[in-house]
Amino acid sequence: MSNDLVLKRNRRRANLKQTASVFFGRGPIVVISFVILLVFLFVSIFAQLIEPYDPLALDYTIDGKLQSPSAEHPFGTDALGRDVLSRIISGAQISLVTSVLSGTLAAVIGILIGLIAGYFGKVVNVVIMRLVDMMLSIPSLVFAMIISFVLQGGVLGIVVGIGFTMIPTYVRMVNGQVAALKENDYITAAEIVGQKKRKIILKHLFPNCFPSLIVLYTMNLGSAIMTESSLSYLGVGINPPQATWGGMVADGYNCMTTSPWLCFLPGVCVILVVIAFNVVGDSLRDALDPRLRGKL
Amino acid sequence: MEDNNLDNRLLTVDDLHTSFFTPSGEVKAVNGVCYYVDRGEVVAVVGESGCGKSVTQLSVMKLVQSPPGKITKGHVWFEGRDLLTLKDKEMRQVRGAEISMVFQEPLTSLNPVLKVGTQISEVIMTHSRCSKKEAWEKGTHALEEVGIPDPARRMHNYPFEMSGGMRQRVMIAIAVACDSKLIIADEPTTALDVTTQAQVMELLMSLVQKRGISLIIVTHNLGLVTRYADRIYVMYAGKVVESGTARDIVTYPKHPYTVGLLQSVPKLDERKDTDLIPIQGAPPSLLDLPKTCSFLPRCPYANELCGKLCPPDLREVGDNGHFSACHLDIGEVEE
Amino acid sequence: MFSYFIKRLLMSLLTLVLVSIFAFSIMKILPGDPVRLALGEAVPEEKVQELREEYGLNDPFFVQYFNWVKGIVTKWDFGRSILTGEEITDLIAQRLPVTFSLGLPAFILGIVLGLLLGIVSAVDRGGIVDNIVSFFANLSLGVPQFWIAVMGVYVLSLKWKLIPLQGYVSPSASISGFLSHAVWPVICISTFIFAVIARQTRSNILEVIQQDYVRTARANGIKNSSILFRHTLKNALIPVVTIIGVQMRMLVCGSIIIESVFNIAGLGNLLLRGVTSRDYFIVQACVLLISFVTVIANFLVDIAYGFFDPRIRKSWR
Repeated sequence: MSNDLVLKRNRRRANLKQTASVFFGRGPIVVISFVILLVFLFVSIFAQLIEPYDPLALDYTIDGKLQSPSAEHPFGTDALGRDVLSRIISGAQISLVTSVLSGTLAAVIGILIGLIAGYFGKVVNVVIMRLVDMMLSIPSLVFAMIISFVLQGGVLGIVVGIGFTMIPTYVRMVNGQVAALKENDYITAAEIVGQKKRKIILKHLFPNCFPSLIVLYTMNLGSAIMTESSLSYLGVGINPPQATWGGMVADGYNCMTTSPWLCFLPGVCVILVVIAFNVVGDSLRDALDPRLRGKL
Repeated sequence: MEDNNLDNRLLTVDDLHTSFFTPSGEVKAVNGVCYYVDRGEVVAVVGESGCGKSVTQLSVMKLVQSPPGKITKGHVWFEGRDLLTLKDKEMRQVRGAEISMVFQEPLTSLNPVLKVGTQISEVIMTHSRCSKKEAWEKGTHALEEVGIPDPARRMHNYPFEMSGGMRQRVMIAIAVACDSKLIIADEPTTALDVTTQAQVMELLMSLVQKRGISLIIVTHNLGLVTRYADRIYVMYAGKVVESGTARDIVTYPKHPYTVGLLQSVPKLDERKDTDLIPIQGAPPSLLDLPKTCSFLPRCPYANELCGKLCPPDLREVGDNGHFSACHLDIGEVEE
Repeated sequence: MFSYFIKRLLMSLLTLVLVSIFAFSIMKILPGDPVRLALGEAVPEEKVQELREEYGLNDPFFVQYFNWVKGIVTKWDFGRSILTGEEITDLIAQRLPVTFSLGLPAFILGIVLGLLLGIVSAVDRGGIVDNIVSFFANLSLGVPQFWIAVMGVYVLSLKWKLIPLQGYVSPSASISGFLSHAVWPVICISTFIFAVIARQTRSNILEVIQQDYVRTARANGIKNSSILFRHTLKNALIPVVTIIGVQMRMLVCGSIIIESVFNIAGLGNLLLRGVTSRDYFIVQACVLLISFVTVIANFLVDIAYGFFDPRIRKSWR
């Protein structure tokens, strides 16, 4: 390996090390959030193996339904006698799947549209930015609701619906970045000496945008989970009997006088995961690009 | 210190230390700086970026942002009072009324959403007992004094409606509006274009001479200040390395760093084929200063002895208070 | 400022046109016959065809769109529900005041508290107040509104019997009834707005404090109170104004969820009903109305922004 490459690799390692030290240097909260996300990830991936019972198995007997937490059912059972722990695990899986899919969908489409808007400029830019404004004038929950309504519900509908609501942030960021890049003297210089502008923009765009994109993606995962659980609570999200955290709160609301934990636990899960995503996103932003503070 | 008429002494900075406490350690930005300014005197503080010259001035005004910055040691005597012991309220009465500052960036140093007139008259009202109307009139007068045409109308302008040179004039107007005894100009002309630079410097000098104010010019441009300054302090890595009259410093530099600075400034009167000689290397990290002379790694004159001795203190090297912090005796600039 | 005003006005109108096209066409993408979808399989085909004719669903797309927009613009007529035949305009007239009576207090509460606590925590940076405010602001961003509403019902009305379980009383009927019913929903809707405004205000102030012009003010011996209120706050709050416009969206989201939890017959509830019963005229109308409110709010905010910022106010471009 040439000396140059070794140097480059060492520098990258040093950067990574520094980023990590800033990231975790923000205190125990960050470490806890990171652990929460790891647990969440683990539980979601191996949901089928961890679940003590089938999350859909019904038990209508008087003794079987609305059980208080016990050794047998650590979080009790719901009004249909289903094991709450198993349903929370199953809900974690569906939350992760929808948030990752919708976040990725939004990132891919948003970056693409942002590139187009930023690169072509002028009329294309105006049209795209107006469309973005239009999307932003419709509340995200309403937007997701309608899209998933059109796609007749289901996981696909929810993913597309939530994904669409998050596109504008990516478009704005990438578009702004391209517009700023275009102003730079070295782009003009490259143009003068006859290099392709498009190539240069692409080459400089991603290194410049990458930190913000990662932060945005992380934070969007949290807000996607929030939107998904809200939709499921309202009964316009993922269809029952699939367990969802939002849906479990809605089901639990009906028998709250006797079994308040049915509402309590799934909500706590949403809070933990969403806040963990926010904290990790915040710390990533500080570690990767402190200039973004207050902007994302 | 050399004997001088102490009644004439306006500001004495004595063994000033300012550090920034960062996650990677203590950055000693100002590391035992001493200097003085007499009444009516123009003093220049010269050094490359990051040598602590601006932080020194901010420390004098107690404007160093804390945290992470902290003045760890030293005294700043101004008219018989140690500014560093003053309470916040007392310090506020000094700032703007007795010592004023003019900053480097006229574009960002004025508040973008307040009228120029509001900004001037607020300072006037803060420091003298007068009505809003009187303060406004005084402000208009101050603008007139710094050569802004149609000052009454300009008072109603916002900073973004003015050019860079004009804004710097406004900054100067604010600085002189309350009859300060000392103006600290931190790179006052760096952000301006060359023609405006000269105008702004002439303006500053004429105000200083007319009113008998003292002036500290902080700059990296040694060429600029040799024309205007009475005395020069050269700073390197948080310390004063050479001080003396402007004439002595330019013609008989004693410290290798000053020599280097002079060699890297183009002069109009020299033959075309004289090469500019840049100073090699970069300034040391203030995080972890060497135990020897901090200029040693870049010094073309250094010998083995330099590597064994402690950092040199300032010692008298000539008449008229010429001091240099170097173990060696260096003569005139070698051609 | 004038051309800025005109430009904003035109942009807002354009956005509204786009929203109306979106709201109208999205339902057309829906596979299947909307009437059939709404009425279900049991209704005979003749009945469906009759209704289609009555609602003009057999006309070409642009004719339908044009008629719809014309009805709204000229007669404020949003059409009728497919399912029940009710006039949507009447439904909206009943429900809009309900949503506003909850949303507006929540909006004001969230903004006032957010600004105040944001300022206080910026001034007290790193202190106890700052930590408490930051903790609650970050918590509010992570707590789903349906959950906090439900938990509040459990504690406040089931355990402590402080507030009624559900429902809504119009303030014109009974002030005390309105207050006791509205207090918890209003607080729930306002949490998110409070959190966003407080965080933004705090970070903006801390950013502005670092600016050169604040250093100039300090170097000129300006009093701390003036540095905060005159030199910092105005610069820091101008960007917050934009956030307030965006928060109108959150208000609507909050209303939908809260109206569902407390069973309140507001606009959000109507929209939800439209979606679940597949009554797509209602959905169209609600979407248009909601974005109309958002666009108006954003327009006003832009104008306020231009007014506060001399750089825009004094320019004629």
